[in-house]
Amino acid sequence: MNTPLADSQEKMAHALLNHSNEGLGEIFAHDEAELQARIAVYRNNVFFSLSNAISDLYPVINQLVGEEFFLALAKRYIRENPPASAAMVFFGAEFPEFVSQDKACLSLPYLADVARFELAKQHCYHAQDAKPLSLQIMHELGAEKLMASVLKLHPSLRLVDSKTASRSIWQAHQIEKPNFSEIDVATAEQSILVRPEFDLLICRADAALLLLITEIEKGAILAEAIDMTLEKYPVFDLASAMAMGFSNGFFTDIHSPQE
Amino acid sequence: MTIELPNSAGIGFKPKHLADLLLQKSEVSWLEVHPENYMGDGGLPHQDLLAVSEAFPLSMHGVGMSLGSADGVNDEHLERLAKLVDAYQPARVSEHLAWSHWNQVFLNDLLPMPYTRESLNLVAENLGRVQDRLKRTILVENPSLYLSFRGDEFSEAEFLNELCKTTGCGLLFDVNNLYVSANNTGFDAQQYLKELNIKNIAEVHLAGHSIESLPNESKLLIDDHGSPVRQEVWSLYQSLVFNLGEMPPTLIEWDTDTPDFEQMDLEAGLANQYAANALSNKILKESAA
Repeated sequence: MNTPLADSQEKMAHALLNHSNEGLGEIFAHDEAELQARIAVYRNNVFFSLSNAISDLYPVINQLVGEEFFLALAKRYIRENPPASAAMVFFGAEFPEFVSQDKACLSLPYLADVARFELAKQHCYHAQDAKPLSLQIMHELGAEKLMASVLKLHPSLRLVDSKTASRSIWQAHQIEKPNFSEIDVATAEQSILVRPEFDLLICRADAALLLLITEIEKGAILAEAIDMTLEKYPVFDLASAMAMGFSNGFFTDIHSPQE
Repeated sequence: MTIELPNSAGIGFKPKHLADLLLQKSEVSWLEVHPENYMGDGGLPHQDLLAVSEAFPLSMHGVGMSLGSADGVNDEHLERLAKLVDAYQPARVSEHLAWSHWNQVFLNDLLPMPYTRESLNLVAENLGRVQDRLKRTILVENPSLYLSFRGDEFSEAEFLNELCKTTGCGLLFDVNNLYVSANNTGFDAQQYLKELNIKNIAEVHLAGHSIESLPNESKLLIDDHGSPVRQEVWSLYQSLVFNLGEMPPTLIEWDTDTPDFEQMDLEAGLANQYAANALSNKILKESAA
């Protein structure tokens, strides 16, 4: 049984999210027409602030579908996935999945992938800071020791494995007048996002590198992670991959497996 | 608490003002931030916050604690706030007399509550948990209201007086909210200020509001923080400063279409100037008496 206060908050929360003013007449001292106008101020605040948060997080999706379509999409999302926390940095994480299911978005199969890319960017941006290992360490250690070691990934590192050209589409929208007619949107793209300091790096990757990093993430010894990768992708260019990883700050620690 | 907020003007911190704040001498002597914007683990937001917290006294003004929620404050949110307070040691921590979440849904707005004994007990309990966890008293801000409840048992001023007495909290008094609520729910702002125990005020907010019309053609004022402080609000501010006898730490809020630093600095300068004028009027009046 709700207390009177709990009852009024339940009714108001329902009224704000569902655009119905049912039950509010007994709580507030206004006639119907005035109540409508006054509750609309709060309702606008809720939807305006939350759709702004979604738009800040997914600016390229907004550009791809246009303002009006985006706003309607954001409102559908908010109604189905209202935030659970006051920290807006955590809001909107289910948006890519929502987009992949949304009927109105079905004709743009790359949309959900670009949304996943933007979400990975957000997570990378707000992740824990950590000092990366330098390329120097790889050379100092020597191949044998390196292979027998376990590497720790940078806390900001995110893998994006897309069936469509999510990175190219995203990059094409970083200029004033995007033109992505040159991009074959149906090309699968893999990316690695990392923020070794305060600037976010976007690295072009392939399926083999993604597998290697995934194995490292699971805690595999480097030699084992490499074996797994070469078994599936025999022409994998290991030396370039390791140099890329170290020079872009993918790793923060290296230790022998028993440690 | 090592640093107090100074008795002068501050502004809400926006990253776009960072360089001006750090490099330029200005009318701004302290800053306010919303802790919710810094609840990620790392990155540029924390780098910026560290830089300004080393240069300015800081006020952490929460918008998400939901002190008025019938289902209590959220433990996870309280822990996140405690971590930030611990890391940045703000001079002041404040929150709103409002609720925002119900049944695990956070509505991201400051929603109103009736001024009843039930509300008072509930807010006091929630506030007590926050103060116990943070090991400090916090300030509570009066809301901007767009609705009147049936069955209020207190006026807002009485409610705030009682809340401060019961919990030891102070007031973050928003003069624009007072002006907006007085118009929107039909009470007299001067009368309110007579009823309110102004000794509880430890910080003041000022902001702009916009004007809409209700179906009966009366005005509904919207606290949108999107324009300069209006003259009517400056007047109320001056009578408050006059009665306080000193300038309280006074924040200019401008969150929608925030202008460049020059204009924020002008608004901060106005606050310093209006407060000084009110205080010299008080001295003149007292010496004439």
